[in-house]
Amino acid sequence: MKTNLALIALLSLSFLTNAQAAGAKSAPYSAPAILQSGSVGGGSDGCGLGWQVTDKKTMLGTTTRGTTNGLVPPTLGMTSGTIGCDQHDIAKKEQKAATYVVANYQTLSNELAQGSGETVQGLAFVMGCTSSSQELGRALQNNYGKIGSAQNGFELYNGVRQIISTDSALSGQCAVLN
Amino acid sequence: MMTKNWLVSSILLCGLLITPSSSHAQSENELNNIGNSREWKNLLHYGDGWLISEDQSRADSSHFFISQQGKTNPVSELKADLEAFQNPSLKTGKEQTSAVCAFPARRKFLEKKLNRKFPDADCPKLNVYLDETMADAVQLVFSTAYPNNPGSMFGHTFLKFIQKNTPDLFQPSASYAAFVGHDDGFIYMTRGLFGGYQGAFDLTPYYAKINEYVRSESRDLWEYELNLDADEVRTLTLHLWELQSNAGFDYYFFDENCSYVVLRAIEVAKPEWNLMDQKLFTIPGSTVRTLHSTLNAIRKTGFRPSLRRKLDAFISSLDQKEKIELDQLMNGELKAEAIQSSAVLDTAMVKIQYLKVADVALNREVQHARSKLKTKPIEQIVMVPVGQNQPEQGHSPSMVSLGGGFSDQKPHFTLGYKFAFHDLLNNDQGYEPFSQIDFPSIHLRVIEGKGLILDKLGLVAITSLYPWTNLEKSRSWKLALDIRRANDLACNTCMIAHGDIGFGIALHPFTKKAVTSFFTSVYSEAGKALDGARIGTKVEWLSVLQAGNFKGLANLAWGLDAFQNKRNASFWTQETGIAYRINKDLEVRATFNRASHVFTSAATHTESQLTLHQYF
Repeated sequence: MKTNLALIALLSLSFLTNAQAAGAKSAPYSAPAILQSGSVGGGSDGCGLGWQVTDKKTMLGTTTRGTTNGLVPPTLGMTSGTIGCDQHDIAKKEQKAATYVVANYQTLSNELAQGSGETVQGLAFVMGCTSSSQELGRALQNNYGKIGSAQNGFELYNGVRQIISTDSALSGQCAVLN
Repeated sequence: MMTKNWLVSSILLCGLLITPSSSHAQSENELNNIGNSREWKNLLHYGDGWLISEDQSRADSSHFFISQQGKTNPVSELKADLEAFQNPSLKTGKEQTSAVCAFPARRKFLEKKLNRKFPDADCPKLNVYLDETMADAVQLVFSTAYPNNPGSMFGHTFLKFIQKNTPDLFQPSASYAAFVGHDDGFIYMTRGLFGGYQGAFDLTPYYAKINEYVRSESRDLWEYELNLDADEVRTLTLHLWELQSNAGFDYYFFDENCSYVVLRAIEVAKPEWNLMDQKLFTIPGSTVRTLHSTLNAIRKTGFRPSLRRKLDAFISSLDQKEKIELDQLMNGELKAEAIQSSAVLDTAMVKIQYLKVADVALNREVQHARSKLKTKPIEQIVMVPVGQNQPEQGHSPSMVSLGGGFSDQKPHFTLGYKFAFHDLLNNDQGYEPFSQIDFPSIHLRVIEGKGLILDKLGLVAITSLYPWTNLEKSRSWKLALDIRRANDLACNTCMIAHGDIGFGIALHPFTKKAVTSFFTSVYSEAGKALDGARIGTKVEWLSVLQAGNFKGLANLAWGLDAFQNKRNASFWTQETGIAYRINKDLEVRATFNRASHVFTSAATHTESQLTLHQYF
């Protein structure tokens, strides 16, 4: 009986898969989508997105992050999220912040243009800024010209840290840069 | 830091409570009792499965057991663990560490149960993990369906740890999933159903989950805070470490899935909830329903709207002029600098993100223009309405039905059973609206002269009516596979196999509570009664309306058979139905179906039915 049920389900599911007009592979519990956020399994547009994950480098990581939900980029290893950072000359205490900026590149660059938002607050938190996130957001919005043309999350991160270091009110306020 | 405090305080506490005895030897009887206790077996993940029926652990990695017989003999595992806990130099698990580092939840349980203290060991990795995950509360997070994909209606669940002073985006989130690699289609499904994949936990900050579900896949997240006290949260955290570092499960889509393993972990922390007595097949939405309604295990509920839901709310907030500006901006007819309304620019950014617009220059232009306006972001002004797809508000997945009616003027009684899940006449509360996904069902009939006969054996039926809009030009689609009575043959017991698949366009006609659609489909039928097979094509008009507790459906189709002369080659069918939801799990339906000759309109078959449906 159980096997029959399985066969029936199998049939149904392979049908389901084939019927996906959009071509997305389907799982019964969640729709998979290969994340577009760049370079799963190759490429190098930043810190933490999708390459060079080894057991050593991510505390909880295994080599691939394929899940029923498609391929999920190995965004992290919580503190020890050091994936790929070596290539970009990122200091150890900044790795968590860099990983965050790369993972949230699009949302963060939108919110920086707006001057505030949850992701901007997250930036202030992850960079250990003692000044308010409004202040940080305002300063980055005012200097948007310097960060708005970043080609990827990694460049965005470098732009952000540069603005913070040179801003008279912000410089020295964010722990990870000190 | 916190870890060390805990260790110190637990040493102190134990020191006060325990009168050290010269020997820790437990009686054989006591060991048998503990080894066979529910709590111990929970920790070892013992239990029945759909392909495994013996009493053995579902964990498939030998690292999860210290005893060679650990997978099948919980008492032998208990003895081996006690010895290992007593002896920190003994290396265990994948990482070859002391047992107290590899199995801290078992240690916690046994220390409490046996009222004794095992020697500590240096556990650097465990300490880092605990520093990351030490939490005040735990949420079960449910992600709703992926738009235009009823297959995802089952949802997905994962755990989120709540730490008081951590922003939501950074809360550690643990998700259990299969590592599928690059398999496709059929292989993927086969391996998934029969346990061909290894499941494992991954631990990420919540922002990674938000990016995946809310932004990339545009699914809502419902956050349910579990009613666990600090000690239970700690047990759960420690047990997840055991699972994460040593367990390894074969992943089965239908039972040992994301929801199953998460439930097992919760059960370790809270054995009183008896979660494993619930259901063999663990559908994530049912998990939430059980925790919420049956067990009162939810303290509070939160909601994170999908990107799509936000976009809809933002667009609705724009006035006519702004809407036109938005369209012109997206079409490249208007420069972003020329727009004075930050609401338009903010909405454009969300729209670009939602549609995954590849035009980087457009995105940049909008962002630069926006950075010059110092107004509040639209997100902080416009309220995004809370979704109606809260899983605990929906009906249960399985169904039995009972009723009667007339088929070609002759009376009949009908009985039905469906394993799962949701059809077009079901109330959409708690589900993705205007969608159907049905798994095996059987309908029987009692008719005069013949007694009990098979009416229909459904294998699968899926429908996605996804409105075609300016924003998204998405096709709707449907398919069905079943064995049914060939009612056009004037034969009560002639069964044929039927399959159809169709694509179409759906629209909201005047309200978002209704959808109307046009489909073209092909069908194929085969059976003895047909002396072979027939295939054909249909053009269909299908409309669905939801109004409060009422749901209505109408389908008018014109079909054309090929290779078959058992009926008029060209025919009409019409199906109408209305359902009323009496309560969440009880519903009454009236349906009327008719088939007729396409030119004369003379009916070749009519059927009306009134049925009562109970969900469970």
